[in-house]
Amino acid sequence: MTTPQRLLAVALGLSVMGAAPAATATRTAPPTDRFPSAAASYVVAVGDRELWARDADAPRPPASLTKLMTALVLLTGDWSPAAEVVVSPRAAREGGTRAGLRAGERVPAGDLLAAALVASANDACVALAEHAAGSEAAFVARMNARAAALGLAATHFDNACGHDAPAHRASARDLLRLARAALALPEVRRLAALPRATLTARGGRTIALASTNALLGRVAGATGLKSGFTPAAGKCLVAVAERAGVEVVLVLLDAADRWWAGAALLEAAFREAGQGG
Amino acid sequence: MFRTVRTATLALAALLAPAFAAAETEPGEEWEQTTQMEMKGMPFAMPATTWKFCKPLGDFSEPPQARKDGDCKTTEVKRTGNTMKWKVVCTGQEKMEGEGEMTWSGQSYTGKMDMHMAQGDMSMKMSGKRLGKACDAAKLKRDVAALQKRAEEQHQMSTAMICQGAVDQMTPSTFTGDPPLCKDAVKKDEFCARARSGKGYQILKARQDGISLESAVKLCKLDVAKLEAGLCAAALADKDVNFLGPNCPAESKVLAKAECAGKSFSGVNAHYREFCTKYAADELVKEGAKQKGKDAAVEQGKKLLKGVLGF
Repeated sequence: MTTPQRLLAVALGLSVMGAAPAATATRTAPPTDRFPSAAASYVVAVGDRELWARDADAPRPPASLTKLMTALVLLTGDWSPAAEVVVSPRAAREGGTRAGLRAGERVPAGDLLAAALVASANDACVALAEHAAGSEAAFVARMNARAAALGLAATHFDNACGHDAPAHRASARDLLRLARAALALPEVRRLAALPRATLTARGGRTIALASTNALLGRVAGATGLKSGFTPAAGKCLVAVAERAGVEVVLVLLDAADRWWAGAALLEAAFREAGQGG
Repeated sequence: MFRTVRTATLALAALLAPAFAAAETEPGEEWEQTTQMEMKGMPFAMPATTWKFCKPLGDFSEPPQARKDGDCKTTEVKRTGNTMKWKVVCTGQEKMEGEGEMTWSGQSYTGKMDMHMAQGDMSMKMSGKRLGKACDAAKLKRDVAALQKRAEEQHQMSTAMICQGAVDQMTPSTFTGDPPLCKDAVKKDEFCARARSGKGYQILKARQDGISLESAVKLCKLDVAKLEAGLCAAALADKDVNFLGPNCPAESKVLAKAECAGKSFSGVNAHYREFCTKYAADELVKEGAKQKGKDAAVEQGKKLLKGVLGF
């Protein structure tokens, strides 16, 4: 083929890329990026099948989605929801979303876990980590060990609760695997579906907490799971919904509007699975 | 089948009641009859039934079915001594014809009837004996009339339920079958009025079998385009999100602009939340379809280049 002929063929190929598509072969396809505007990175799965994904293996800051691993390590360790946890000054000083715990306060571990998962409370999260492992650093080591055991190749934790840090990373696909591991625990499912929770300290002080998940009670079948936001991570979400026995799990990292995108993606996924309205 | 046997039994019961002039009471005496019915071709006979009846005093002066009752008429009655033969023809919905004969003495009788119906032939053997107890010979006639009346009422009730069910469930085939299960013109009008309403029209359309809506269009002479335009305009005015979403794309866009666009997810009015979510999903799916088109075009282009450039 001469050079002019090759150039013509390249031009033809490029022009076809902008034309209407021919019929595609029917086969089981890997997930595709159908919705590039949904989030910087996302993955949507129905049951075991990934439907759509974008940049799903790229390590990104996971923000408070980290707390899914926190919960997993706590609940599969030496866990007693009635155990009394003493809030350290360090925990009480935690920044970001907080329950408002006071140093020295004694709170049942179960209440603290609810605060961490339902309301994303960082002070409750650190208090639990310190109680379980003696220090946050020791607890984070357990989190990384569990990540390795789960095969989360793009994930590394630097802290227990999801604060921005250069070495604190996870991918959307890793977070999907983490979510499935956490959802296998009934207590995670129960807490994730709560629209509110109450924390009661010894002495009687109660703190009312509202869920950070705007999908609960607003999207049919929504049952969880966790929201997250930091300046570096952007708006993040792991959402779970179930209709007629079909479960959809999605992960959004750095979404322009995680609630509209999450709700619309759940609806679209159920339609794809034959359960949409 | 059961209906056929039931009707035949009623007809036979009426036919076998002794003939007499209409009277409130009539002196009679008790007899007992045993009948055994058999449908030709069935592997077993129906169980024998025994029943008592009150016969007017005196001989069997006329055949049991000499009375013209309902749709059945006896003809060609021939009496020879204490034996009688006759023919019977029943018209109406359950057509049948047959012939019968009986022989009696002062204390007993035997007889048989052969009935021919579309569903098959039925034969009946009967035997009766005089019990002698005094009774009211007119009672059977009253009882049969009451039974027939009750059967007719039940039939009417059943038909009414079928007709109402067709209106409630929006099943046009109930009115269009051959023959239609419901012939009630009032119920048909009710069905058509409902088909012209948002709720009824949505049921027809949602069935997605294509037949129900088409059937209703023919039955009720619906102008679908005009009807939809009117229903969608009304749904938008009423903010009927349940109708708008699946049926009215143009009006849905108007409502979405007013109630969904620019609002935070948790800030949407609860009434519109599901509508807005589904609308957002529709828009997302449209975006996805465009992206799918682009992806496929890119793949096609790649293949073309691969073939040409040999990599």
